[in-house]
Amino acid sequence: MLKFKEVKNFLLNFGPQHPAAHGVLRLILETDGEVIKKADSHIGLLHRGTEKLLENKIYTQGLPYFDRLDYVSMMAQELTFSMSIEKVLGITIPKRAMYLRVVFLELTRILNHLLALTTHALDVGAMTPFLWAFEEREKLMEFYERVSGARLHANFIRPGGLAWDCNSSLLYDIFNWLNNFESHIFELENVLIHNRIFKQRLVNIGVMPAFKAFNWGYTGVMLRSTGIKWDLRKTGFLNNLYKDFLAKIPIGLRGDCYDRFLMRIQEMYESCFIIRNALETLPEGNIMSTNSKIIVPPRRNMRMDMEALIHHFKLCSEGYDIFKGQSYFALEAPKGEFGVFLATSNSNKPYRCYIRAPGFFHLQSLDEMSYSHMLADLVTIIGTQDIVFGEVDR
Amino acid sequence: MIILNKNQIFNRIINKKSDKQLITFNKYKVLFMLDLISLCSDVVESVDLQFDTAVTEGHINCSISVNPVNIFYTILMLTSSNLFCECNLIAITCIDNLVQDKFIKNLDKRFTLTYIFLDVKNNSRLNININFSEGYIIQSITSLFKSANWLEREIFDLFGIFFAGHKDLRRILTDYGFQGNPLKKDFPLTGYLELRYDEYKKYVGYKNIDLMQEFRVFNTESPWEKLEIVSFTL
Repeated sequence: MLKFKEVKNFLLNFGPQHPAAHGVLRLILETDGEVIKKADSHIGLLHRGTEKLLENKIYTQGLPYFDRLDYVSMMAQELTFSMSIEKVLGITIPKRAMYLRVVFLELTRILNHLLALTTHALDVGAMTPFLWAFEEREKLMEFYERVSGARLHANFIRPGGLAWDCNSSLLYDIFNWLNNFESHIFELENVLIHNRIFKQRLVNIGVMPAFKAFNWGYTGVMLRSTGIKWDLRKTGFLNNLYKDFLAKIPIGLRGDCYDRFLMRIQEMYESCFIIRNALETLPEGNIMSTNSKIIVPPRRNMRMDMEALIHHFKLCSEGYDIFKGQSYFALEAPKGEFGVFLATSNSNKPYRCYIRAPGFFHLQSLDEMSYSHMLADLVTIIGTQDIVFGEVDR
Repeated sequence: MIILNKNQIFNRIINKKSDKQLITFNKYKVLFMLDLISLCSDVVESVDLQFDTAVTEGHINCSISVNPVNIFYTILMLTSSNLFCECNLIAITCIDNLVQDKFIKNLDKRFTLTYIFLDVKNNSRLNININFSEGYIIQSITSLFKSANWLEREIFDLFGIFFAGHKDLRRILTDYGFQGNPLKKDFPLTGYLELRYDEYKKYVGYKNIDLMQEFRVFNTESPWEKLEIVSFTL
C-alpha cells in the first residue's frame, strides 16, 4: 500500500541582520525545499518618520532629511526637494548652478552605481570589485567633502541654487579623476562581465516583463531593463538641460539581473560623458538666484549691513511662507523616479510632504520576482533591485 | 458631473496668457487629455489642466476631482482604455485636512487622497483627487495595480484609512503592535511611547514617553508678505 507523506512548506526568517539584506530587510520566506514560494517582506525597521518631521520643520531645515533618505545618492534627493520648492515658487536658477547640479547629480549616480554593482557582486561571491569600487567612492566622497564640507550628507543643493561655489581646482580634479575613472570601470567590467560564475548567478534570474513592470510601478533602471525607453532626464523637468549632454540611454532586452548589471555599468560611462560635457561648457556667473525672498544674503554683507543680518536671521529662523497648493515633482535619481509631493498651506512649513521612493516600489515586487527561484537567487534579486532602506522606510 | 465640456476647457487653455506656443506644440497631448476626461465625464466633479511652462517639451498635467464612490470605476476606465494603457501608478498619497485652514476643522472633508498616474507613452501625468470624511471606506485598487498594495497599506498604517477589497491590510512602516496613525494631524510629533532599556528588569521595552521639556513650537504669524505660487506642477 502506498503511503503518502504530507509535505509542508518551510517557513524561514531572513534578516533583519543579514549581510545580503542590504540594511534591515526582514523576509518571511515560504520555501518548498530550497525553492521560494512566497517572500513576505517586512519593512519599516528603519522608519524614522521623515514625513512627519518635515511637517514640523521650515523648508530650509527640512532639506538635510533628504540626504538621509537614500544615503548613497544624497544629492539626487536634495535636488528633488530643492527643485520642487523652486518649481512651486517659480524661481529661476542661474545657469552655472544648474550645470554644477548636473555635475554633482551625475557624480552621485556614479557613487550609487558603484555601491549597487559591487555589493551585488559581493553578495554573489565576487569580492575584488567591491574593494576597487570603494576606493573610487572614497575619491568621490572627497569631492563631496571639498564642495560641501561633508562626506555623505552634503546639504549642498539648496532651494534657489547651491550653498557654495566650486573653485576651479576642484573642477580640475574632477575632470582629471574622470579620465582615470573610465579605465577603472573597464577593469570592473572586465572582471565580472565574462565571469562564468557571475553569469550563472545572474543570467535569467529575476526576469520581469514590461507589462508587469508597469503594474508594479517600476522606474529607473528596473523599468529600462524591460526594454522601455523611459528616463526622466530625457522626458522630465531637466530635459532642457540634459538635451545637450545626454547621448544615449542604455536599455535592457530581457529584463533579468544580468541586463540590469550591464545597464548600470553603461550608465556610469554615460555619467562620465555628461560630467565631462558639463564641465567643459560650465558657464561663469552666480550660483544663487537673486530672489532675496528666499535666498539668504551673502556672508560678507552680513558683516557690514544690519539689514542683511536681520534678513538672514528671519530667513533662517522663520523661513518663508508659501501659499496653499499642491505639487508633485520628480527627478531621475540613480534608483528610479524619486518624487516629492508637496502640499503647502499658507505657512512656512510643508503641510504634507510625501516622498516617493523608487526602492519602495521595487521591493514590493520581490515576492513575484523571486517566485520559484532558489534561495540563493533571492540574494541576487535583492542586490539587483538596489535597495537602500533609508528611502524604503523613510 | 463635469463642470466644463471639452470645448470650454480647450478655450480656457488657449486663452491662458502666454501659453499659446506651448499649446500648439503639445496640441496632441491636450487632445489626448481631453479625450481622457470626456471618457470619464460621468464621474468627474472638476477638472484642472495645467502645463509645465518652464519646459517646452514637458508634461501635460491634469488633475481631476472625483466622488470617492466612483474612484475604482474611474481608474478602471482609465486603465482599460487605449489612452492610458502604458500607465504607471506613481504614488497614492493622503493629506489630513484637519488643520488646513486655521481655526476651521474640516471634518466632512477630512482626508484628501491623491492618486498620481504617469503615462509613459504620452509623457503625461494625471492626478485623481478624492475628498472624504473620517471612517469612509475607499475601494482598493490592488486588483488593477499591484503597486497599490503597499501604498494602500502605508496609508492604512499612517492615516488609518480602510481599503475595501485589499487582501492584506497590515501595518507596514510602523513597529509591530504600534497603535495610532502617526501622520494624522492630531498625532503628536513626539508620539506617546518610547523604546527604553529598563535597568532593573533588564530588558528593552516600550514606556510612556518622558520628555525633559515640552516640545515647543515657535510659529508666529509672519509680518512678511507671503510668496505667491507661480507655477504648479502636479
